[in-house]
Amino acid sequence: MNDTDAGLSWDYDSSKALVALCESRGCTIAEAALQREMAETGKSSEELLGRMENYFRVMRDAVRQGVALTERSTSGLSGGDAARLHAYASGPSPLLGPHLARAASYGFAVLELNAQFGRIVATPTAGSAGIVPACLLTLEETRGLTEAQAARALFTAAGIGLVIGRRAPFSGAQGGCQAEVGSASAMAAAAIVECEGGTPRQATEAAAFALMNTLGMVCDPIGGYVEVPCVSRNGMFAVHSFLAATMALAGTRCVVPFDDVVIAMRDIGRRMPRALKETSEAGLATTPAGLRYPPQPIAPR
Amino acid sequence: MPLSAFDVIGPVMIGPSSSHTAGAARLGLAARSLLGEAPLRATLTLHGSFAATGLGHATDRALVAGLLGFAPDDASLPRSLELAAKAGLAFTFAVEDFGESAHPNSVRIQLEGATTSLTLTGASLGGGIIDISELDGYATSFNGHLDTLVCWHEDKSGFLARLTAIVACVEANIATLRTSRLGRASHALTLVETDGPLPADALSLLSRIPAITRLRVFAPLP
Repeated sequence: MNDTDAGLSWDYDSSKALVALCESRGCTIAEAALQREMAETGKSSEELLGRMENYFRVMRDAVRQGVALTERSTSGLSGGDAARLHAYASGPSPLLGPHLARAASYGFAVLELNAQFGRIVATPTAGSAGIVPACLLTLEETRGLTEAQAARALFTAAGIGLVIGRRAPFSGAQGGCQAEVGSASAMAAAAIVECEGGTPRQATEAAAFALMNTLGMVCDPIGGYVEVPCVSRNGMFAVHSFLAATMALAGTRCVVPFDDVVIAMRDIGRRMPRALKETSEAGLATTPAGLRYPPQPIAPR
Repeated sequence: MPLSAFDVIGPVMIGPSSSHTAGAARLGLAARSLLGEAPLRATLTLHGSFAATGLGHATDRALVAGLLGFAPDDASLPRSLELAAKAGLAFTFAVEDFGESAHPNSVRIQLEGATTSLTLTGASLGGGIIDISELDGYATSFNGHLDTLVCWHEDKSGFLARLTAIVACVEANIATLRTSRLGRASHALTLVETDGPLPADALSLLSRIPAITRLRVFAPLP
């Protein structure tokens, strides 16, 4: 199924429609998202998968640079914790085995690099750019995921992301952290499930669990910097994505369908006070520790 | 609303913020593309969150990087303010409240090149996606995702028929088309987004439409 069949539509506006599409054509979410992109752009599957493979390599480079960082960022809020976690994971007796701390360290790594003007892939945003790479890099190490498989996994993530993006915003300024890290976790969880051979339905269940358990999460970064809590949150929610995928692969079912979880996320985002949506006017940003790092405005010059 | 898988995964960018850094760089790039030549002087007026948290997000550096023609993933982006002098670009930053209805991440860019100048207002919507809402006083809306043709022209009967006839002759497909004008029988702006670039012969024909005072085409923004 490498060429778009002009007679078939690959568009979908909900996960329900996406799963139905996949089940009727016997394909994965990754394949459906790829076919949709081919139909939309007129580009070949080779070109589109090649572009995603390149993105995966940028992600891997970001992780490798990030775990090697020892300097603190300009603000002084982050830097060096990815390396600490990575070293702990390679120690004699890491808690729950080496992969938990290592996956977390990769999430930290991308965000620490991001804070130091490094090159990353917004997935779906820069503030949530560590979660999908952390999960895919962990699968590369533990399950032998190839670059070609990683490119397909990114299409799974994109397929779920498009469902979210059709109904809700991705930005913390509009939807809070649930819109950024919640979306990234849902995308990562679905990608993990398809990498493990799970069905489109299971991938959607994983996305539902991942997003459902981020609902209400606010965006209150210290000083307006994409660092605290963003760096640790990317590490922690990479692990969260693995857990959501594990639950779906085990056959647990989410009571609320993914599409409705997305609507709930949008609704909560709309009701969330502006002070908790990337304005640094409340929450962590206004704790005594947070106030030591005030936002830096651009002065007229 | 994201339409492409690469709106969700991507852009590849220099951190720290897709809205405040990558989107800002794209706004600068759009302004440079619309000017059609190297800018010599720029005034960047910031509104809302762009102004309030811009320094920590390198919004200033990203905007200037875009004006210099750097893509959002160019490793030189953090050094753009220093590189601007070498490129002969003088810039100033100002802060202004554009009002309640303005998007929090908004900027007005006034640019001067050797032969022309322009003013645009745009916003960064998140995930690196931008929207240009005003160009030289004309209300518009575009995001630089597609090949874009912009015509500044006199508001004359038959103008659009000529333009679309030329586009049709080269078998190009128009994705969107929007004309805005300042007043009846005055000046107008027409913006056309096409699926793929227009061939050179089409541009040569378009430039011979007498009502057109200025014509710009640019490829999708990186």
